[in-house]
Amino acid sequence: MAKVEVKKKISSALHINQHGNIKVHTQIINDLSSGIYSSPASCVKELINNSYDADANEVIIRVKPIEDSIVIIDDGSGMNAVEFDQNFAWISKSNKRNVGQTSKKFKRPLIGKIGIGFIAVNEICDFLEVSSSKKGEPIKFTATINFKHFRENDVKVDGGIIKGDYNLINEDEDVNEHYTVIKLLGLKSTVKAILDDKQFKSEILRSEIKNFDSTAFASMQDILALHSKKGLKSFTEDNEYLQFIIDLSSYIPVEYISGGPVIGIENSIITKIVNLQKKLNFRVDLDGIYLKRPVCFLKDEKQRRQVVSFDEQIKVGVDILKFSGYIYIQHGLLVPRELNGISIKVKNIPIAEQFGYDTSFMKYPNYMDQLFQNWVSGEIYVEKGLEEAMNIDRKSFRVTHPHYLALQNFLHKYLRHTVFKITNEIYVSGNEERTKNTQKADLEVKKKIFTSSKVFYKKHTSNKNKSHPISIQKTKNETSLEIDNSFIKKFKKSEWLIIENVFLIFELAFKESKGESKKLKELFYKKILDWKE
Amino acid sequence: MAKQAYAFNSPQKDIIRQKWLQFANEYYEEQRGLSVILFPSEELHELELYKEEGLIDWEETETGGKKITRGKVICIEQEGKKYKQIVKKLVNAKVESGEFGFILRTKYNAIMGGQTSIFPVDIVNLDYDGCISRINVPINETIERVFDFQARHQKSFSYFMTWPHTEDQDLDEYKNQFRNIINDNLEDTENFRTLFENDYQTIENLNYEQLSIIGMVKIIFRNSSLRRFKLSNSQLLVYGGINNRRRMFSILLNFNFVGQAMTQNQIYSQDVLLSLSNIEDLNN
Repeated sequence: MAKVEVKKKISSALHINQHGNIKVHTQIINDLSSGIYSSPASCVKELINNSYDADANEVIIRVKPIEDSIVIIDDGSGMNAVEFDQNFAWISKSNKRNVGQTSKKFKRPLIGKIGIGFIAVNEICDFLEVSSSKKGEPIKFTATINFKHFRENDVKVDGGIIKGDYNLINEDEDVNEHYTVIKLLGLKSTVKAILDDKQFKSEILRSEIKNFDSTAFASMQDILALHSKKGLKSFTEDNEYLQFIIDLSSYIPVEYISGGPVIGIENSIITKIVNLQKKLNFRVDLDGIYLKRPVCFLKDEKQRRQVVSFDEQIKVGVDILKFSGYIYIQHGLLVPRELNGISIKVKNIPIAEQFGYDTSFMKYPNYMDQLFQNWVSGEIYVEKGLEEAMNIDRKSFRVTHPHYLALQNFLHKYLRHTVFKITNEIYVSGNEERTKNTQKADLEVKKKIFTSSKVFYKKHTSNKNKSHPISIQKTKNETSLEIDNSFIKKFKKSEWLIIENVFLIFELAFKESKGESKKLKELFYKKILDWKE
Repeated sequence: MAKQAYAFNSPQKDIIRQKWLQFANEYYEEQRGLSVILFPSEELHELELYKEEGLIDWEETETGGKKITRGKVICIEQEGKKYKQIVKKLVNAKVESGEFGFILRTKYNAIMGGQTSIFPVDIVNLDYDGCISRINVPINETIERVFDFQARHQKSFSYFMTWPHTEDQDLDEYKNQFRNIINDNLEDTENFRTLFENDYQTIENLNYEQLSIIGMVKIIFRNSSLRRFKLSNSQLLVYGGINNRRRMFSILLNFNFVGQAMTQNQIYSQDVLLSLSNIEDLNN
């Protein structure tokens, strides 16, 4: 175990090389070791959320050209060397934000965990360079943090471990400047492979979707449309680069895609939610694309869909739980599958694993409304309460907390009494329409078989001659078919649809062959082929 | 001629820009586009020039940035504010913050190890706007690295450099190195001193402009010949100094990589002879 030297305090002195350590509390180490920050999206979103907390309006992320670094620049309030040392030199559980704490300028509810972003990135890169300038101070500092050196051997201090050391220098800067520039250097090869979009681009070029060749990266809308066109059921079936963009966009407080989240359906609560997100005035530019919330249910004239919404306030003991949201309902399996669930947002950020949705609907019983659960997607924005129920990782809740239980109770009742009633109505009306469409299609087939524009069905339950379940009566103007219903029941519905046509063709061929077996055989096979053309 | 208005323009600077284009055409390949290292400042004027002339291409992005679709652009910027603006405007260019010499120093191992994100390029355009004798990394080290890195890939290229007249700020050490290198050069061959003193005067009587430009060129040739780059074209220029504009030095050099086909001494002596042509004053 290396000896830790007592170091001088970091100061704002200009043009002097200063040194410090990044120390992390043991409890945080457990979180880091669990792998929750092992993906580039999970690390980068922490840094973006720190920028949001620092009152940034715009964050610029540059991953291209793919080399060895990610650059993140924000126009937030910045910090000086002393603040950097205070906030990042010793990262502990107490760095957690206090409930109700807001940012200085825009009074935004704070969402990041101080310092966690800086430490999380050591999972994906070897070095971190931080440069920042605070408004009103004519100084900028640049700190280069080395994680690589400390990766192999743990250097312990009281209550924690040294995860990195840094060199810091202060230089002159324009007094009006305020920004933070973070560079992740020495990216791990697995991370570079994810961020390299060459495979993504070559897929597009190879694919039949030629019109996406030049526009696939123009906007979030294009990226989601491209994914949708592929016909995949899940984001995780798609390219890792696309997953990185979508996972990242799910967890930052940015706007919705224009017209989203439900294109073509107006709803006042959704409009209120969308406008609130716009008012946050926070944009993230990733290599020339504005990241937007990746929830966008497209209009489809053939599909039955509906939106229901709520704005509720529930008393939970002495507390108030206040929230609003919507649930989108469609007929049929909702894709991508990651959006099939409920996204619960606290301070505008989802509390969930990857892509932001709880696919269990807060543990709605699996055996109930099993089919219809696959048809819905919803978001709940919590304005008051529920914060204390969050686990420290911000990916899950303590399921015994009263706020969680109250919200769960509301959601389950709402699903059962409102949402799944609607899904049932959609299903039934869909069924009737399906039956009509099937009958219409079948009649067209009959017209083709009989080469007659007028074909009439008649189904009856008794037949004098049970070995001949089908009889055909053809006149000059029309053809009528009589089919014994009891015969139909011997077969599965899907089997009968085909067998019926084969029987009809046989009867026709038999009639036309006038008993000649060779001719019967010829006619029968010819009519089968004609039917299938 | 570039169509847009430049922030700090003069007819002389326009001439120099046109000369950059002429020199660049020697190494530019249409299919891959122009590759260039430059100090663009936040206005990106030089890049706009290359775009207008069809040497590079870009698309506008959703965020109003430029995504380079043909060509390779590496931007260097020291000032934090300008660095941010360049990163915002250029979506997929390589933008490095800090002093150029320092960047080359820190990336030496990576570049010599084969990393190609910066070098090799068609143009290295060093457009300094401050006193270069006071930069952290000595200019001759910077020049040496440029040739090291281009030689690593055996890449012929254009080397442009522009810097202001800062005689009153320049360190003595800097001035002396010019005198020394010119003097050493004059001792290389019997004829040089005669030729040189016929064209100019003795070293002591060189004015500061001549000392700076000739001295800088000699430093460059020492490094270029060592790494087997042969001069194919050159222009030595001064301009400005009237109507409150700074007096500026500018050199434009095209180098072909010849490798082992010639020795260092052969290259050096031929290139020095070539560059004994006059320094052109664009004010005249």
